[in-house]
Amino acid sequence: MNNLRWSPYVLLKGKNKIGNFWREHFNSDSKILFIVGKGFDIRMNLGIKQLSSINKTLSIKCLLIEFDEGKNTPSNRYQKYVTENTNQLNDIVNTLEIKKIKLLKDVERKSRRTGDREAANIINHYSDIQNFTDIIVDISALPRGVFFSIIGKILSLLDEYSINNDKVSQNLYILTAENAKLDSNISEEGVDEEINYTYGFTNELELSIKNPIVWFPMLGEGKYFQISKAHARIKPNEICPVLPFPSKDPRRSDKLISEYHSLIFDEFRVESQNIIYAHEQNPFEVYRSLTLAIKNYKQSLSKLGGCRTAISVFSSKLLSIGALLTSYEDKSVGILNVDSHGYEIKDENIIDELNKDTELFLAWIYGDPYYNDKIRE
Amino acid sequence: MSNKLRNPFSMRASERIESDVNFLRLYSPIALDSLIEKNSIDSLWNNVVFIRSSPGGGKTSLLRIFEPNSLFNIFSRKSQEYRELFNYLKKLHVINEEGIDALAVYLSCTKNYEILEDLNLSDGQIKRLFFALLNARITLATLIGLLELKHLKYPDDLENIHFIYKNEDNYYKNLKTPCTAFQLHSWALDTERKIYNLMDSFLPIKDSKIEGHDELFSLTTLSPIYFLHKEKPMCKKILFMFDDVHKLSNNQRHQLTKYAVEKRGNFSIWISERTEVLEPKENIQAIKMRDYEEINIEEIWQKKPSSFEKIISSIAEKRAMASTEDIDTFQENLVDFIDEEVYKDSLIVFNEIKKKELIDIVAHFSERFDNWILYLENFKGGLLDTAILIKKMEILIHRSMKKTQLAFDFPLSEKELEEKLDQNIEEIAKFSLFKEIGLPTYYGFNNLIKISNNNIEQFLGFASGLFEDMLSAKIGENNTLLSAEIQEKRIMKVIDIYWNDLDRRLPDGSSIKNFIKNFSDFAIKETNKINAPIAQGVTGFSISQSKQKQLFNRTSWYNIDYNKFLLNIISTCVANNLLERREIIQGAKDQKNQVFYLNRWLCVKFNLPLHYGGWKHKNIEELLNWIKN
Repeated sequence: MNNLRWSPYVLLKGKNKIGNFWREHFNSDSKILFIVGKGFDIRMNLGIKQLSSINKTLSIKCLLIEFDEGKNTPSNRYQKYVTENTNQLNDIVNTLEIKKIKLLKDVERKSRRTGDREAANIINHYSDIQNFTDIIVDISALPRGVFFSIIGKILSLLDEYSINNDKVSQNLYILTAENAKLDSNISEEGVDEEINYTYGFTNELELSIKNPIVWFPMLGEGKYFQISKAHARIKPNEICPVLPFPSKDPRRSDKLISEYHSLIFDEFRVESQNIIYAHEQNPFEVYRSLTLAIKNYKQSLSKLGGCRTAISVFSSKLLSIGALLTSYEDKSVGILNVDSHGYEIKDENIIDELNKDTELFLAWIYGDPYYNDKIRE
Repeated sequence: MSNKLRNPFSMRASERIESDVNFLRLYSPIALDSLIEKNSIDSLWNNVVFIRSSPGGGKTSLLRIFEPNSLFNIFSRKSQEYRELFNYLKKLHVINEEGIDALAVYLSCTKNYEILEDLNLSDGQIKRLFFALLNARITLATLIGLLELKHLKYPDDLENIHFIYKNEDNYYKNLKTPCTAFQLHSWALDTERKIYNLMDSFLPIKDSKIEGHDELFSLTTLSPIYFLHKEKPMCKKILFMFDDVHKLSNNQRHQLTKYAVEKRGNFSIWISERTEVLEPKENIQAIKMRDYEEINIEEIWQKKPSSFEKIISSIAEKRAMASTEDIDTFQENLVDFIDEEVYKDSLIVFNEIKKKELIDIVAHFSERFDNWILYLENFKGGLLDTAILIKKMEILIHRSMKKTQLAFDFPLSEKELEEKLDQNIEEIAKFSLFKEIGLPTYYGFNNLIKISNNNIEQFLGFASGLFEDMLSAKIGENNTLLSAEIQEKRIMKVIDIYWNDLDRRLPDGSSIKNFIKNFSDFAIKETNKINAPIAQGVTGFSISQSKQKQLFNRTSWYNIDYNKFLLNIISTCVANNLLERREIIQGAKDQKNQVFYLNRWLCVKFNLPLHYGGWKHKNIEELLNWIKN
């Protein structure tokens, strides 16, 4: 498995480690593009606050993505938090550009999710990012469909530039503020009726190729309906549920099995040996486990013309990064996530307390560490 | 992997039943009766047939029976188990004792077609790409179908099939015909891949010449006469089955159906879609003459309730037999009676109190009801029967009291009472009584059929939970019988999930829930009136437009802009099987009324009876108010 694109990898965990790294890495020549989502999540500004605190003179341009979830979204209830977060962001950064996108498009009596495509168009050409030395995408307050597209688009532009010019231009990082307890205090409301593969990550999944589809649902709590919907859409021939282990709560996998027992074993008829365990806090390990499993399936099914693979993330944003990297590298792997119409905070009174356990993660996915053989600009 | 399942009812949609053998075992061919009818009037083949229902009505299962693998299994396993299906298909001229006559090409429309509309291209280009993508996918599905039908190997045997179409109309720009099926397959795959790259790539596609098509020519060129294997035709007819057409964009659906209807006669097409795609106006009124053939699955069951009962019984028993857990009957495990002993105390109290109440009430009417009270005193039935009699008498006495001003105060005879204690009043009296003293109301297989409301998936949703209870009961008590109480508890649990899902499943879910809840509040009040003026209880409404008609010069309410939202709400309810539309002839000059009944699971949710027949006229203003909180 040494030919994996992201092996070895760079993953930093915790404010201190990330702060120290940024302090060493950034200098007066650094020009940083910081992409962040505008939302109600208390974690929205943790990353930018940390970055700006290390050096007040750093050149940071902040691109704030404001996404419209539709007029009836339950998220609209938390407008006061959105305003607080936005005011705070304005205090932190000097240069702020706002890009607005609509997640849903209403055509006659139908509503269609187009946010992923709109998000990808925020960065239209390489020229939009060429003046920056480092690009950080903070996914803490961005919906999955949006950050998959943005990161996919930037990676594609950087790769294209690298191939055409035989040199590495910039560094690209994904930053996320992870907190499983805060996540479980926020529930998704209203699931899309029509679900599709994520823009840029459909790959071969919709082609009429006659080979089996293997599905890797990455399980998280309270997603019964979403998992059922994704299954009906993908129609997989084989299912390998991905459970988080090692995990902070060592019994989390058992609890998930208990929650989905009937669905997985009775309805989907999954063999228990198909279950895959992936590190709860390491997206690169998730990427490695998925890639290895997919490679094994392809080899085993080579007599049948190989297989295609679909991944669906019903778990944390951190683990989503693993799925994103897997699908970006292997064009036979598609991503199908089930988006919701909005979010509901179960208990607003405990947010501050829960937020104390939030951890920052920085995944460095493009640039210096990966291109020793290429000239750095 | 065994073909048996622990809980076979948990396999809802046919798409989830992976194995063809399992699917065929669990399928009840009664659903094919509607096709037999179309065939008998010669409108099934070389025609366009729309197959419609709300979600879970059984459209995809119906199509799956015709897929090559299903037909191959039915043909090659001529055992008794498949004989019934075989005979049905034989009547449809799909199969015969010597072989399979028809190739059914299945094409799902769930595959991202809508995204084409988001490309930065002209409408004309988008339409050409849409037709090109359909042509490619129809071709690929046809070729794979031909291989499956003849049990040939993919992709090697494509070389041995010859496509002898001469391309006189110059449809194929980048393919030289006649050619092998392998070459045709490569052409189609290449077309599909190019269009997909255009749709999915983050970067602009360079140097890609994508072939757009002006026509859905594959429906014409993929004719049985153009495919030869070992110099012989491979089948007698080809049927194109488009499933989930409601998932196309409105433009695309219109383009596909328009093309199919205009060119009909040259090929056989079945278009399966949800009723939600119909224009709202079509969902709220009976359309007399459509210029195409239609099978509306739920309307068929509505007209033939005995057929729905038959199919549900058949599905239930087939599924129970397919369980690994040795529970080989479903129906018989649902008890359909109340254990009187359990409710003895409540019944004694009820009988005593109510009897006193009745005596007090009739005391105001000198001798009018004396014979009736005597009848009740002399009644020798059990506790429950006595309670039912008291409830019936309560209704009758209150009805009679309403008419007292008109009648003289002569004593009413026992004979008159007996005449009035007919079946008509029995059900509502029983229902009111059970609700009043907290007895379970919704239990037994017959009620389960009613609650399923002509929708097979709805039945499976309830049956899956009930079967799970049977499995638990077997482990715990070695007895799989489910009491009325357990059945009702499970049904309520499933209903709560359905109700909570409405917000996320439906556009304007909260308005729809308001509408249903407010109507139900009204229906409960009407149903629970002490004299039960409508014996079946109220579970439906029809729209009267008198006030608005006067205002808007007799314009139908649904054509008024102000009512558009209401129209959409009612249409969405009908399309998603929350409201059931029935045409009732009643009133002056045999007036036709479009009555909207609550789906029977909503009757359970709001403690309403399961009978049809009880409905009230409501005007637009009242309906508009129901949408609000």
